[in-house]
Amino acid sequence: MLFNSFTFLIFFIVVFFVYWFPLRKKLNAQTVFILISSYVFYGWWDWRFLALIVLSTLVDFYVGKQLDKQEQLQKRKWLLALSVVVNLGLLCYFKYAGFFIENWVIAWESIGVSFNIKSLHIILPVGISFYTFQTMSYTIDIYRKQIKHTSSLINFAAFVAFFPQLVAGPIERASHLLPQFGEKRVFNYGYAKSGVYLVVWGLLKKMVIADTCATYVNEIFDNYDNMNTLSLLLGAVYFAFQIYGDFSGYSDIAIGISRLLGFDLKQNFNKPYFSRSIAEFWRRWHISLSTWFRDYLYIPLGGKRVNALLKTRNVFAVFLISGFWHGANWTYVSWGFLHALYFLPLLLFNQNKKYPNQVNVGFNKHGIVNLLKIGFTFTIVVLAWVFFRAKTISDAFAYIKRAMSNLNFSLEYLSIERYSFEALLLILCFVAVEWFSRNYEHPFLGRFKLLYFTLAVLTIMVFGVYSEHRDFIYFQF
Amino acid sequence: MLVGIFAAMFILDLIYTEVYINSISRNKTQYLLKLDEGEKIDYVFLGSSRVENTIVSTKIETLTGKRTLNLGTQSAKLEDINLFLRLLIAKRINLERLFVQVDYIYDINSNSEIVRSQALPFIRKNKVIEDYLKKVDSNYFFNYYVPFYRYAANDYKLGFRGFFASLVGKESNTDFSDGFVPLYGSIKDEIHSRYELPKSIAGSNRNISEIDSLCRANDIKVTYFCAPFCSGLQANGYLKKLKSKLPNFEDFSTLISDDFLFQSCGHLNNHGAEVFTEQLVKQLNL
Repeated sequence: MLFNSFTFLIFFIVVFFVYWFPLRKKLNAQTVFILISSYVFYGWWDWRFLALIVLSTLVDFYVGKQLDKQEQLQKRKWLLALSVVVNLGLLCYFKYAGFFIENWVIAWESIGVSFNIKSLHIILPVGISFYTFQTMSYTIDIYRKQIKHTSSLINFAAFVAFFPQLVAGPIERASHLLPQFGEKRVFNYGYAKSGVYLVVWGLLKKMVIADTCATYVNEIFDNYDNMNTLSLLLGAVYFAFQIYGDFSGYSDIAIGISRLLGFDLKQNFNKPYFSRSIAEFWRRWHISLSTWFRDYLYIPLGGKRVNALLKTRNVFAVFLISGFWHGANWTYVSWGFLHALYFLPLLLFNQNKKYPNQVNVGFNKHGIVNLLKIGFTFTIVVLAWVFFRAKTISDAFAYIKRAMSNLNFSLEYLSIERYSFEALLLILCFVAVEWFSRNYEHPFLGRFKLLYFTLAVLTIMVFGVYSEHRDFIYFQF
Repeated sequence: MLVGIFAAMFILDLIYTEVYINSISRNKTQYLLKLDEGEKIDYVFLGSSRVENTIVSTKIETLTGKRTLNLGTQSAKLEDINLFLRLLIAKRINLERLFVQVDYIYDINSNSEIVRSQALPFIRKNKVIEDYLKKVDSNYFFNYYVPFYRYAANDYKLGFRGFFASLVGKESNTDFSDGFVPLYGSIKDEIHSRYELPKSIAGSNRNISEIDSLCRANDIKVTYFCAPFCSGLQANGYLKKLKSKLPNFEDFSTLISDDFLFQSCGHLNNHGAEVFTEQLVKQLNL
């Protein structure tokens, strides 16, 4: 069930009215209803995979309870290991088993030993990378004695399966989301209105920006060997906006829907393409995942309180695993590797904490320098996106090589019956809106907010892509 | 808010529909609907791209002095051909002879998505189109009753780009008064040098029966024909079976023997189209 589908609209209208009218004063019933709705939402794709969520929920609920009771460190470690093994085991089997077997066979074949292993053809359950990380954070936090376990299985199950963020995040922490299932919910008009604004802004990002860009991106990346430099550069930029519109759009919709149900989810994107350095980019892009890796991998490895060699190891570990988290393909690992390369000098020279605030550009030298830094950061991010989008690493290199060697900047008419530059007009408008609202979560602000909101709705109606329903990119992760 | 959205959908629907109805013709359905009532057109060719890229109407006009129109449309099937004929009749076009390209499409009663989307702006404006869409469109209810739905759901063809192009009067590359769309180049690879027709043939075709009776009722002489294929055609006796079902069927599948004149096995290139049209005029004594 996609957020940008008619089915979801009907589903959510039903959920909203049942939740706020018959169940308004019944907290437990509301939570049970959210749980059932979440399972229906997830089961819409493939009900069989509900078993995985239930298994993950039961194991982590049990482990959390036992961890709180248990004082012996060794036993606590075993309990934590049980949670990690079950969650990562499921993730590894469904997401990475095929990849490891394939690479194992290739490695042996390279030295002349051949195997006859049938491909596993394992179906990847939607959202498995998100909910396994979310449930693991619960047991790890209890192990670290940062939170207490919950005694309500229903609340915990609803926390794991909460439908707005189940399949593509934001990856929530138990300390933030779980207590909300135990708190009385009162419908707040202002809060719900901000939710509607976020839903509409998210839909615009997804249906207008991401899906329009996708048409061009698919055409250009699939035929890169026939494209000229201008089209290839545009293709890479379009992909940057496709993935941003797609993923941040999903997050905005998830946060907005949660607000309509009286829940607060954490911000997942904060205008990442206005970052002045890669470190700032990673504080603004997929915040829930980068902070997850920071808290559960980078800091336990020693973070930056170690020598330069170990710092380097930690940075590469985080970015390579982050790349691998996105999918079982070397292209994602290469993408992570590039970001590690970008990030490392900033860390080693203690520049990674610079720019904690939103960029402020004036008509002066400082402003121009900031713009140049934003341009540079965006350029290297786009370069890494080429690896992320390409089918193979050699495709990515061939794409970049052709972009740098062809040097033909004429406007190409693509076989999708559009000129390669056409989507750029839309992107420029979008960037302008994002720029002027960069200190806020959406652009519906000030005296004319209703007008802006109406324009956004009209934009979705007129420029939205409806004919080819495209899954959100991050569903596959 | 919902009322506002519905009102916007209604207004947008009105604007888009008016623009598509009143703009210059950007596809063959629009062109057909803009023909003058009772206009005289001697020969009309209907079919898929195997007509659109094959019949050079101007050549026929030069050789015979008869006004000819190529209404072949990419991926058109017999349901679409039936629609075009009904639209011609509804316009009371003074038509002397109709040529319908038939090959494996005899087995198919479905329609072309292209023709369906071209017809959608006229769903509430033209009875013939309304009936056609009722038959072929699985989203007929939404397209008919929900304002703007048809433009959003078919955004690739009827969305803002199409609307804007119509609004500013951007002309199509095709000259609809002729209807011929040339293809350039010759067969490049192995895949495009072969074509296989089905081994068996359907017992009958509802659309063919309807076309026959419409032509009879309106005194239009109809000729079915099969456009040329390249030498890589594996006919499997299909065209002979077709001939047994359609007495007024002319098989030109092997009329062009030089593969250099094909752009792909089922499509002649511009030069091939000229050669074939000339031979067609002779073969049919036009």
